[in-house]
Amino acid sequence: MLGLIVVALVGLATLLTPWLAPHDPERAHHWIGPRPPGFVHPDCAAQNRFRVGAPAEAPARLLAARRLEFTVEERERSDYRVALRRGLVRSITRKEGSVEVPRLDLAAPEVSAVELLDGGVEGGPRAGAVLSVGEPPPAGWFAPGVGVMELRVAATRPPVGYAIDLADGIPTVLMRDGVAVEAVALRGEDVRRVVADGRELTLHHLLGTDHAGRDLLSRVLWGGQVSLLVGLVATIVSLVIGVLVGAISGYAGGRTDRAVMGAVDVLYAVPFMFLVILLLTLFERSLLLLFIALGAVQWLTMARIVRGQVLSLANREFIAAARMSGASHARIILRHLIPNCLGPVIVYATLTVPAVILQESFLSFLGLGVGFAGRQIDSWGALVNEGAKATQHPWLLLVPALWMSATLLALNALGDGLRDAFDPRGGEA
Amino acid sequence: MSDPLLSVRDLEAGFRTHAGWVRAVDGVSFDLAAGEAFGVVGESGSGKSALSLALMGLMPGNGSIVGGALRFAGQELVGLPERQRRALRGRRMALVFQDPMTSLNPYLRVGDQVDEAIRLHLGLDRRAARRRTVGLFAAVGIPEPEVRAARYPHQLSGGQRQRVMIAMALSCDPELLIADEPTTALDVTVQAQVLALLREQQRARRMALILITHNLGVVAATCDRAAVMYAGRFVEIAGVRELFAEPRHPYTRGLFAALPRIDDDRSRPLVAIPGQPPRLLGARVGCPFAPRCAHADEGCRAVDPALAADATGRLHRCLKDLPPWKEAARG
Repeated sequence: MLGLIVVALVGLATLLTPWLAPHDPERAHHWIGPRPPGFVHPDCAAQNRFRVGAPAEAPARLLAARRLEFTVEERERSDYRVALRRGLVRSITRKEGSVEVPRLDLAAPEVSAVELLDGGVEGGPRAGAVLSVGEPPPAGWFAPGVGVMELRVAATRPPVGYAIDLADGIPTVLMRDGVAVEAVALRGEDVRRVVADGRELTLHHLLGTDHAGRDLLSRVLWGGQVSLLVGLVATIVSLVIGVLVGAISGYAGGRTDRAVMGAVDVLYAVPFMFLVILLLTLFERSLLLLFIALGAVQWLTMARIVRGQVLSLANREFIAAARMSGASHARIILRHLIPNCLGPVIVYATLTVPAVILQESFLSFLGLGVGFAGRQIDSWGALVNEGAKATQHPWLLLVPALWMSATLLALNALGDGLRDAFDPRGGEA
Repeated sequence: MSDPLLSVRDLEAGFRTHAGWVRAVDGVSFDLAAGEAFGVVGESGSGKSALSLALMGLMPGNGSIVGGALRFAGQELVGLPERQRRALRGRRMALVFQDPMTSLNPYLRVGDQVDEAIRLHLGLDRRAARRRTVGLFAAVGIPEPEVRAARYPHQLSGGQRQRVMIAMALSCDPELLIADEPTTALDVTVQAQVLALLREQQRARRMALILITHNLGVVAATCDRAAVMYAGRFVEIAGVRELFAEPRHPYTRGLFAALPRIDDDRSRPLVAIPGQPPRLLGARVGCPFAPRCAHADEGCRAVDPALAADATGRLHRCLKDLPPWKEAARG
């Protein structure tokens, strides 16, 4: 029952994703980076440009307002290049103007953030350390064998207030701390607060953001569309092929049965994952191809299960009774045999859905995943793989992994429930 | 007698098995008039069910008809294409199976299963077929037929299921109904009801009935004529009255002698025919009943008797002309 509810919820969420997803899963907020679940920040784009009399560049939600007030902590950013020689700092170069400095004090009070641009160990460099030429760098900054690191150091300035009057998205008056100015460019990462017509505008990231600042909940929801679609359609493909082949083989019996099951055994021996990868590499990658490729892998077991069921059913008297009524072979297979096989078929099919989802995520891991409806949206598998690489930010792994596990678990519970529901001897008997 | 409805001549049918060819039906001949009730009695393994399957053209995958002729209403059925055979099955000849527990599809409502046959053969639409089904259910004595039609097989009792099977067999007004041990799986009181129902329907519809059973009492209660089957062949055919009054074949006599009676002396052991029915494999020499027969001699072991009339005009397969049978003398 719980499984049914979870599957229903996931299914509903997946169907309603375009309306439910709080954010555009592709909209990056580069200035944010990974943030844990529950993160809230002002609603503004990476770059917001306002010029009196010209259309403003900012999120549409902001431009709908008549008066915008920003509180901005502008930061001064300087990029530094640190080079090592024999374990000691050889030089510190400020990139702007290529000025060499003897010392970089990251413990100074105005330093608000240190960002690693290139080289070094992720999570290593941070505020609070001092780098000096001729001295060893702080422990844990450089990976062995790495000699050069690029840093971005941000220093804060006192907060500044901006007030912007808009008419149809075009600024009429721009004020900076009460002084009228002609143009304003605001970096999203500096904005601390946005008030539109007296109402504060914020973005909530219920499940946090990824390394590119994209909303994780949105990505998981959109990813579910791909994963579940692939899982369901590939399962239906395997169901149709497997049930028909298995039923016909089992019902025909004799030579036909031996030939078909021999072919199935031969196909079992083919390393199908390679075949799928080959298919996906040779042809233009599309959802259709993925469905067919994954379905073609799965139908073999289905055919065997159905054939076994049909073999045991074909000797039951009600099949003879149906023949006695003058039913044709096709009718016997479709109306009498297949419905009687449905129990195990459904149970196996619900196990196929998660199996296919896992296979799809394996393909995604190899870079053979597929976008959806022209958008490059990652499936759950791709999100999990991405999260597995970002060990510093566990929620990037945990959120999609738990989401996916819950769905797979629920699908299994659903299979049990369906089996009970399909058995007319259950329930009231 | 005018042309018989069903005319069977030297019918041979059997099954391929790992041990070899099993002659389950081995040269059976008989005629059946329209509206006649004909019983076939025999012990397990005598080929009764194989005969019914062969008559219906429902031999399983490893079985086939290998010889003889089978004419139904003037049409030869042996070698008839499956499509035409299918048009006959259920329409003009129908079969009631032994076990109503397994002969209904557990996943279909019983009404739908009866509808299926009606719609296939009579081309009625869904609603007309259902009206007919409900009428049939009422005719075979199912209470609340509309309600029961919407039930699944497991929701009905054994007797009701067998009534459903009979309704299904009767659904297209067949001219010939074959009932293969229709009461074996039912308890005694229900057996009597189902037999009465079969008899009543057979008379009302002027339908020919072949009742296959191992129970002599059933034959006596239901049939006009009966055949005793042994080792895939009819060893004796007679009207029921004559058969019960004076069995001519030693096997038939053995069957009657084996019937326990309520007024028997309890201390007397039950009578059985010694030995086992023969295996129906390989070549056959002599009378198949000879090894178990008290009257058998060298001639019986060498010559296979044909079904022929004896001095009293009765048809049976025995070389001996046995003395009159006195029931009191048995044991």
